Amino acid sequence: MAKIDVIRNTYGGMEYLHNALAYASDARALYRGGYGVNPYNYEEAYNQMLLTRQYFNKVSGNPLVHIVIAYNNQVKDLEVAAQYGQECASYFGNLFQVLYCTHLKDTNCGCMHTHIIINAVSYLNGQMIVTGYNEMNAFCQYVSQVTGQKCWFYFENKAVYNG
Amino acid sequence: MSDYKYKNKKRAHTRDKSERKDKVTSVRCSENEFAKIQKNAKAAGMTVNNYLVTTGANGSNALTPELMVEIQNQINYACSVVELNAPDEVVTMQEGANNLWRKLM
Repeated sequence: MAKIDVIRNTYGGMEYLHNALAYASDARALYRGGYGVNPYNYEEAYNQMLLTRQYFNKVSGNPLVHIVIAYNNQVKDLEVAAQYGQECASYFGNLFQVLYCTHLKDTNCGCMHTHIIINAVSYLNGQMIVTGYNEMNAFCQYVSQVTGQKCWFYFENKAVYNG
Repeated sequence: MSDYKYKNKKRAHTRDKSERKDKVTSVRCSENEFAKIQKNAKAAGMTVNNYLVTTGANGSNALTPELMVEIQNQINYACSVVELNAPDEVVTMQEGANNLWRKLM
């Protein structure tokens, strides 16, 4: 069973977006790719996301949605996981800028997993991404189709109040 | 406890003051022009208000994020084809794309 972690309530503004892109581009990131951004350089990817937000005058507000798809143990080949990751990321690619990468097993997640980082502002019409239960349920079904695994998802709140 | 969460949520997603749409104006146009504006806004997936503000605020720029993303996706595809044989070309192509992105603003 594949597990989808949806991180959508984030504090820290654009700094959080910068950090998330850096995380998805570090040395552990394999088969990195992007839709509407430069996947080879996270600083440029950040600037490209920022330019879209500036165009629509929506720099403040929710900076990103971060989705982690953890595959089950049946996925043993990194290339297969990367292929799944690309197809899952393409779900958002026709409306939002996306950077994605696949990680091997690590201490946080004991299985291969794909990070998908989505700019919260659409490059088509400037609308903010909607990640309610219905939208994520539809995405979950799409991931099920792509991976052939049953999927479930949960929302994670990364909010830390410093005020 | 619930009040604490609500307060934090509001703080997290409040628009910056400079981005708040608190100016109101009216526009005079003919029936035909208004119909065209409505049609174009619908085609762009925007409300009439958002369409007029976005096109008005960025009117002098021929580049749009939509166009830039299309260009970027084509360059990404080209880079994925050549990256094994000519990694230097990847850097050159992405630099070219980035220069175009900078012209967006």
